[in-house]
Amino acid sequence: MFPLRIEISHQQENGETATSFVLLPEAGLYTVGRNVDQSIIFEDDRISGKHLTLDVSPSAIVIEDVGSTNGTTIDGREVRKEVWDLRRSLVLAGIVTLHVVSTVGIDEGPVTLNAEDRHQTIVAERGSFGEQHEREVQAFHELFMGRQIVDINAISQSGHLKFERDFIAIGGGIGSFTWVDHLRVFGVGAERIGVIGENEICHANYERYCQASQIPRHERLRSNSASTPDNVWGFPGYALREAIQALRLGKISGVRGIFQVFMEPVLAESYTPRAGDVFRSLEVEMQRIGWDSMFRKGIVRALRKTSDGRYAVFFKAAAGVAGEKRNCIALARHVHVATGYPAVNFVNDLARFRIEHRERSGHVVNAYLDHEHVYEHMALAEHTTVIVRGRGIVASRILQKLAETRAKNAANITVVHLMRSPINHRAGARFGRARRSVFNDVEVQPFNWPKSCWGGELRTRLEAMPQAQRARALAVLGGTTTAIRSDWIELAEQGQEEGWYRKIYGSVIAMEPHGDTVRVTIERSGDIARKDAIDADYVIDCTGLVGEVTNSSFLADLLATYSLPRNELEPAGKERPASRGGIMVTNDFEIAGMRHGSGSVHCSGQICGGGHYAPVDSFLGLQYAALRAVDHLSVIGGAVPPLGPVRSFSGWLKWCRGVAP
Amino acid sequence: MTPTLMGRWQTRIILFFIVGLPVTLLFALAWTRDFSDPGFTMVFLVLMTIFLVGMVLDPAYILVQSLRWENDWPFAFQLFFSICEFLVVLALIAADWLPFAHASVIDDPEMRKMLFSHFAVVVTFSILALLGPLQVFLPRWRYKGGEVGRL
Repeated sequence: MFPLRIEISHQQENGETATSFVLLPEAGLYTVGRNVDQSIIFEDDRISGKHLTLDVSPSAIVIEDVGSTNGTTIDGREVRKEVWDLRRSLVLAGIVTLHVVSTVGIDEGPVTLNAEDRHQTIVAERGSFGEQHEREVQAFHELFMGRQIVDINAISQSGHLKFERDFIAIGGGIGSFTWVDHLRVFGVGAERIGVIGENEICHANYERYCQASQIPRHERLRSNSASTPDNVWGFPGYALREAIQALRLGKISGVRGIFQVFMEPVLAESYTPRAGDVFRSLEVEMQRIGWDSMFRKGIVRALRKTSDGRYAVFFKAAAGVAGEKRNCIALARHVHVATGYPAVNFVNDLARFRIEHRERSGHVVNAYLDHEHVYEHMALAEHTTVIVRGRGIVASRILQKLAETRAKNAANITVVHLMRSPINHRAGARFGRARRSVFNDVEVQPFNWPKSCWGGELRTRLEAMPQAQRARALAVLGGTTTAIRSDWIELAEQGQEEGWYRKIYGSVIAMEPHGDTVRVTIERSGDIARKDAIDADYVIDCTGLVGEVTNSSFLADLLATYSLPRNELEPAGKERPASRGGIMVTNDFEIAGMRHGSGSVHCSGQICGGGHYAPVDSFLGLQYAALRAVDHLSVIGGAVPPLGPVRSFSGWLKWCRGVAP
Repeated sequence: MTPTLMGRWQTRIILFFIVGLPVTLLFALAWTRDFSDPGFTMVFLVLMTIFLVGMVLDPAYILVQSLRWENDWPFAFQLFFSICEFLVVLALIAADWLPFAHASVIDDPEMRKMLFSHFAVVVTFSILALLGPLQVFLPRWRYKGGEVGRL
C-alpha cells in the first residue's frame, strides 16, 4: 500500500498555482506546516508553522489540525481530528489542497510507481517526534537561517559536516552533468568534485517530462545533431553516430540523418536525435567520468558563504545507513547551481477547475504531467471528445499521440484544437530583416530559438543588449513555436478531411462539470458576442511549463539571503501567468552576488532563463554555459587548467576510446 | 552553421592554411609528379584566388544570412556558394583578368580537368572539416560564429 502519492496544489500569493507530488514512503506520523522541521513544508505565511499532522497506517490516514491559525477544511467543513475520507480533498488555509491521487489506495494492494509516474515528486520523511531529534533539526537549521556567512568552526563542531570538495554541483540533472563533464575534460579529478541531487541518473527528471509529454525513448527530441551533452566538442554528432550504428546493422537508411544535417533546414527537415540515443550516450559518459563516485543523493536546503572563503551546502541526504545523520553539510570552493524547473504551474483557469472540482481533476490535465489514463480510457471508450489547448511543440506531439491512439484502437476520438487566435501566414514574428514563417496557424522554427542564438550573430547581439531591449528581443525570438514535420502536417490534413480534427479560435472563459463531461465555454476570437460551449471528456493543456524560481524553497532562500537580482521578462499572454525571469548571471554564468574570496558560484539551465543567453535551457545551451563557467574557473582561481587545442584534441581521443579523462 | 562576418573570415583563413594548402600540395604532387609543371603552380594560384574572392563575397553572404529567420548558413549553401566562387575564378581566367593565367588555360582540356578535380578535392575536405573535426581542436569555435579565441 505504500508509498502513498499525494498531489498538492498551492495557490501562491501572486495568484499562481504550483502543483507537486509528495510520496509518503511508509506508515508513520507526517507533519505539515511552514517550519523547516516539518515533513511537508510550505513557505507561505498563511500556513501555520505546525499546521497539520497525518497519522498514516496501513488501514487509514488520521488527520489532525494541530491548532493552525487559518484552519483546515474538507468540503468547506472545519476539521479537527478525523479519519480522512480519501475521496475528499483536504484544504489548508483555503490555499493548499492535498489529494490522494493513487486510485489504488489504502487497503487495496500495492501502489507500483514506475519512472513516469513520479513527477516533481518529493519523498516526505516521517516526522519522528523525539525531542532530541527535534532539537537536532533545530540546531542544524540555526546554523544557516538568517545568516549570510556561516562560521566555519560552528560547522566543524556541529557534527553535520559530511565531505569537502573543490567543486560541488547542486542539482544533479543534465545541467550539473555538463558542468562536471567539462571540469573532468579540462583535467579536474573526480575526487575533487561532488554532486548533490535527487536522482542518481542525470537525465531522470528530463526523461520524466519527455515521457509525460509523449516522447518515449524511440521518439525524437527537438534537438540538433551537434547538441551532445555527453560530448564537449559536439563531434561526432548524433546523426553520424546513428548512421554508423545503422550501417553496422546493415541498414543503409540510417545514413539519412547525415543528409539531413547537410541539407537542413532548407532542403530537408532538421535532424533530431532519438530520446533513447541521447539517454544512452549520457549513461556511457556518466560511467566514463565516474559520476557515481561523485554523486550524493539528497535535497539541498541552503547554500551559504563560510567564514574561511568557501561555501557550505546544507542538504538532507536520502535515507541511508540507519542511525546516520541525514542533515548534512558539504564544503566547496566553487559551486554550480542547476536545479531545473522548480514546479509545474497550471494556467489559472485550469488550476481553479482542478481545485474546485477535485473529483474531475483527471479530466483536465497538463501535458507535461503524467496523463496516461486519458489514452488508456480513450482506447476503450465508445466515443471521446478531447480539447487540446495550445499550439507549441508539445501540442503537436500530443496530437500525434491522439491520432496514434485513434488508429491503433479504432477508437472514436474527436479532437478539438483550441488556439487563442488564427495567425495569418504572413504575420510571423519579425526581427531585424527576417520574419518567422507560419504554417497551419503555428509559427514554425526547428528549435526553441532561431539557430544563431546558440552560437551566431544573435548570441553576440543578445549578450550586448541592455536588459529592457533584451527582454523585448527574447519575447520575439522565443514564443510558442513548433517544428515542421511532414507526419504532423499530414495528420492535421487527414484529420480535417476525415472530420475528427478541427481547429477553433478563442479563449476559455469557463470550465465546469456537466454530466460526465467538462463543459468548456469559449469566447470566439474577434467575435466577443459569440460564445460556444463544448462538452469534452478531456482537456489537455499544452500551453507550457512555467518555471518560477521562488517555487523552489532552496532558490527562494538563496535569492532572499543574498538579495540576488533576477532577469525581467516581457509579460506573457493573458492566459499564462506572468513570469519573472531567472537568476541574473554574468556572461560567464556566474551569480555575481555570490562571489566570495577566490570562490565563485555559477548557474545554468532554466533557473537563469531570460538572461543574456536565450537557449540556456537546452542541451547545447547547457554545454555552452558549462564551457563558459569552466573557462571562467580556469581564469579566476587558476582552479582548473586551461584547455587549448592540443589538450582538447587529446581529451577528445580519450572520449573516443572511452577512457576516463 | 551560424557564422558571423569575422567568423567567416577567420574560418576561411584557418581552412586555407590547414586544409587548402596541404591538400593542394598533395594533390599537385600526385597529379603532376613534377614541380616544374605549369599545372603545379596553377592550382596554388587558383586556390589563392578563390580564397580572395571568398573574402570579398563574405559580406554579401552575411547580408543573405540576415534575411533568414534562423540567421544560419546551411551546409548546402556553403557547398553551393563555394562552387559559385570557383566559377567566378574560372570566369576571371576566361576574361583574361588574372595576371598568372592566360585565358587559353581554360581551353586546355588537361588543365581544365586538373582544376575541376583540384577544386572538388579541396571543397570536400573543407566541408568535412567544417562538419566537426575543427571543433575537436577549437571547442569554442562553434559558439563564436566561427571565430577563434576565448568566449
